[in-house]
Amino acid sequence: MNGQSLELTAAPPARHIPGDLAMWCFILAELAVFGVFFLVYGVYRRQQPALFAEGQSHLALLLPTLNTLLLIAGSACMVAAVKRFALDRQAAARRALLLAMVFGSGFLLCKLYELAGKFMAGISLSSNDFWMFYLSLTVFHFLHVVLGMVIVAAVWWMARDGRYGPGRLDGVETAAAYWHMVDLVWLVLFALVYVAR
Amino acid sequence: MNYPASSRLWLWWLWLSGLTLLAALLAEQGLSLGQGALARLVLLLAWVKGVTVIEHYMGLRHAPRWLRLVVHGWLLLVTGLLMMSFC
Repeated sequence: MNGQSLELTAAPPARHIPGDLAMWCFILAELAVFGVFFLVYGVYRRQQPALFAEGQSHLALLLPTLNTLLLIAGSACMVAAVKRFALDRQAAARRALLLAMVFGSGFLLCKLYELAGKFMAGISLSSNDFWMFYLSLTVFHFLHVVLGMVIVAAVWWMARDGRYGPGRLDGVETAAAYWHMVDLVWLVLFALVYVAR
Repeated sequence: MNYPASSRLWLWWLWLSGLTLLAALLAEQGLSLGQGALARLVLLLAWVKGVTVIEHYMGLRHAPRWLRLVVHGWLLLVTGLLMMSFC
């Protein structure tokens, strides 16, 4: 009876870590660092609400909102790329990677424009606690987007000889996982630094 | 791993973009929702978007439970404590 029940029970879908486990250890370490950064920002903001509100009033929402849309679009392209490699649609998959890099470049250009404006206005790390957090958080995240672009570009380059395909997705899944982590961190950063007033 | 259908993938993209625009719109309107209420609302929206990214973009729906718990736990802890800091 028991044996019969076991035979009739459908096997659960196999659990799978998307990408390389070493990359996931790196991603979890990065999340921990950003998490501490965000919480320390929260403590300082609570101690100096007027100072932080005054600083935030100088941040326009248009560019960071556009940047959020660009990162989300880039993430969607990474999912599409992994799926297309899984279906062995090589050219379409590489196009999706290229599009992700276009969106990533758009993010970097908008962010450079925003940061240049702040530096030209004389804002620096030592201006006050809000600007210290704003600059260090956004520049730290900017560097992560640059690294994400390098990783995606490397995958795009290596994919030209059909390295990725059904059953050979580790590299592209690893790149996608890193890209999504950068996106996830930005979603919290955008809400906390730019919008939560 | 199960990959989302193309239509579903772009629906998630629309959902995330829509929530982003909603958060920006709420802040631009400068709604007087009470002390810190707008901040808590946009952080709640960030948590909803984060859950979507973790489940559907990162594909952790099909990952081992420990990994899913750690990443979701990180997001819940960070957004939850930040929301409390606005009380």
